[in-house]
Amino acid sequence: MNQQEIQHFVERYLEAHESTFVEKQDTYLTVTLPKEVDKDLGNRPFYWTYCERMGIEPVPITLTFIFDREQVPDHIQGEWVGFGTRRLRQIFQSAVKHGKFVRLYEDDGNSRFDTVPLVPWLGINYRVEFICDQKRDLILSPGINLISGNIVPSFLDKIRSLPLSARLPDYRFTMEPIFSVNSAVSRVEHWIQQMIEREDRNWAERARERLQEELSLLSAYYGSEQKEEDRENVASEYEKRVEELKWQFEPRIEVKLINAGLFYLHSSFPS
Amino acid sequence: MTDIPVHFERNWVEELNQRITQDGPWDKWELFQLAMEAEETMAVREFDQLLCLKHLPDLTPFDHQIETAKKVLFDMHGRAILADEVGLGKTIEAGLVLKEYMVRGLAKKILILVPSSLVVQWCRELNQKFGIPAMAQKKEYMWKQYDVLVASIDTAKRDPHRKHVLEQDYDMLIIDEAHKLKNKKTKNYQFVKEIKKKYALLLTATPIQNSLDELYNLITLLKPGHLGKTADFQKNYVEGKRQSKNNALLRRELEKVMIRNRRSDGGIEFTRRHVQTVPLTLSPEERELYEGVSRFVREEYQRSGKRGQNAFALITLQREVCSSRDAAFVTLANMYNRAAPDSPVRDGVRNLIPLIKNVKTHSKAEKTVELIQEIQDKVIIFTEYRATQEFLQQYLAEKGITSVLYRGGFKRSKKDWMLELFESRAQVLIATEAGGEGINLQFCNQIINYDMPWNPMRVEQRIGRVHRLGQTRDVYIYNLSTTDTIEQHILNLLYEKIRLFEMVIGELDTILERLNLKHNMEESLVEILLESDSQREMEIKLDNMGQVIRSLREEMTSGSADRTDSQNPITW
Repeated sequence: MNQQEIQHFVERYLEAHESTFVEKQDTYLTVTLPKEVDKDLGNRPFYWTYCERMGIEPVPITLTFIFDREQVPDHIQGEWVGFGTRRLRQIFQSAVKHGKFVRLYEDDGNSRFDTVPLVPWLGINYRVEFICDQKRDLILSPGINLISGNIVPSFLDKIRSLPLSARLPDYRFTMEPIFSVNSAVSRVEHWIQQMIEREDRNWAERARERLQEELSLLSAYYGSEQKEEDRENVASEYEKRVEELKWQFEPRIEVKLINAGLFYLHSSFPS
Repeated sequence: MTDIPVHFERNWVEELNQRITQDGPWDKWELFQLAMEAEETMAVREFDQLLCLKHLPDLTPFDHQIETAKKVLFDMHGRAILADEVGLGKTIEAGLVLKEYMVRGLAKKILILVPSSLVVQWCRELNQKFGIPAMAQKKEYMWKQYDVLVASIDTAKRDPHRKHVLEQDYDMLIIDEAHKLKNKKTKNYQFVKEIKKKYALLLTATPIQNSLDELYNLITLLKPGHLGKTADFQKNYVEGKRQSKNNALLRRELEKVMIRNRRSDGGIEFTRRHVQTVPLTLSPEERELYEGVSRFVREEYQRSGKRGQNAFALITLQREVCSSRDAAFVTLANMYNRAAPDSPVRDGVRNLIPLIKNVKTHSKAEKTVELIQEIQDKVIIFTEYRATQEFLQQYLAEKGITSVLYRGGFKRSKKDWMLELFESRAQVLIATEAGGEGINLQFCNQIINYDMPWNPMRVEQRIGRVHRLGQTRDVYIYNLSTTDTIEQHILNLLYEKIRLFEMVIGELDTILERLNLKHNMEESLVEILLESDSQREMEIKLDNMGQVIRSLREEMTSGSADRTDSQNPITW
């Protein structure tokens, strides 16, 4: 993300929460935080507990975010929001927290008087983490048709341009899914397994070699020369070191959810 | 890749089903998309690229620091000894490695063990320079509660803390001043050995202080077995206590676990230091006051039965009168108020009042103004005393010189503000403290030591504020020395005898550690000054102390395993 994209992101985030902009300029903006944003960005959890418990109307916070440090007018006092700042991290986390599960209906606004069925899809965004002492992520966003069981890769990209609404439009009805969420997830996981198998596996082999090398050094070190009376101590220490090495090097893959949603789309999708 | 275990996170399926049955609540489409964009931005695309720099907009590390971080991450797999010479930024290197693991989601629970005097500084650096929310450990519950903790190793190793520390699995353990772990029989060593950790960094500027065994112990703590078993190590690499053999091999082995950047490696140039003693003579009235106070100090010391605590206060008084009339006055007033109404202390102080009143000149301040006018650039003046600090600001203002104050008691925000004012508006910064602040004053290259701390490390810290990486100009240090006073004696010892100001950064702490004084340096000096019956005796004792330090230094530069020379050929 470059600075312009960051600015755009923050503005969209604030707009999505229907925040009140006091001022919005090219180089900065001043905003009054709505309640759920304040709770994530305001850094005042005790205040919120206090207000809620005492039934007091909270006083909202107003913040100024600066996006262009060079061009911003001198008299503007505020905090710079750029990549790596704690503030942007907070906004990212808040977006992730509030963007977890959606249910949306395709609404093209046309053909008002024909009743049209909408097909249920489950779209899931995953982060696949390849972990040893290092780490790489792979983001996958498959969608599965809950009638046919078909899986479409990069589902999110394909629906981004569709007109989607949170409300079921008039004259539309949703088809009853054949696949339950649970069985759809199992199918998708199987698909993910296959995707993973196509990935390069060198990293894992190298990590295993390193682990073996380290383990052999360790067993040589703890192997002999210890005095009789320390035997037990040494054995438990050795175990601990072995555990640490495995923790550090052993290759593993973690598949984690970013977010997921039910999407009711025209039967013509994805073509 | 069927043989690599794959774990699917599934608890979310239940949550989704629940929302379906309860018809919500559903999140907004825009936020759903934003969440995905945020995750895509934060995702780690490659195994072996340094990502953290992108996350550190306000930090510009030096090349050697970036290289070091990469080596630790990609060649050493997160376990290393960082042994740069002092002043090259080991903290920055450790911060880079830590940040990288955090950005990649490989480290969350982190413990940083440091000497207690460095706890606050580490917290501040990690928070300010790296945006890492490090907390100083203060309460017992914090071990569990907080992810990134900075703690004093001496606290951590004691119960009840020890128990908590050993219960945690630390993704990363960082130990600063790790040369304190050289002896494997110590509690510290045993304790660190027991901590469960994935990645570990040991930071030390002096990896080999006394013997090769110590280095071996340090490496064994980090990667047991890397230099073989103890007996093998002795057989393969050790010739004499500080002497190694099979150096090429040893060096290769060491390079796998240890990184040592040196100033002489090039690219890391420090500018030169120019030190000048600026002598000044007291006016007759000032001299009379100095003598009067000295007499009072001696009499009080005798009368109080030579008790230590009092001795310290008395010597301080004598030093204060060399600094400024105001500084001495504050202490005298306090002594008067604290003394019983019929105490001879009150008479003593009362006798000094007319002498104080008589003083109309300020020789030292005058000299300082002359210096500042000659320098015609930004200047930092260090003094030990707050009264001197305030007096000086007023005195300089009368001469049309702008100045700002800086002292430990200021709140963080005020300190930052003062430094900003100094950089943008004022010509002079008058500071009472330098150490442990991590303050960045490289834009200034002139220091006046208005009076001297008696702890040489503190002198070094003062200079270190200015003479560090990033200073582009030569550094000028002026030491004011009042002729025929204790100030002159001490300066003579520190400057002429020890040649303190010429030492390489980092040399001093090693010397002081080896000096093995009964008390610290400052206390030892006080003892010499008060216990000497004559001027001559004092001079001899000071001279002896200087001799010892000088010979230690010579021994180090010629015999240390830490240098390139014929006796000790291991270098990195």
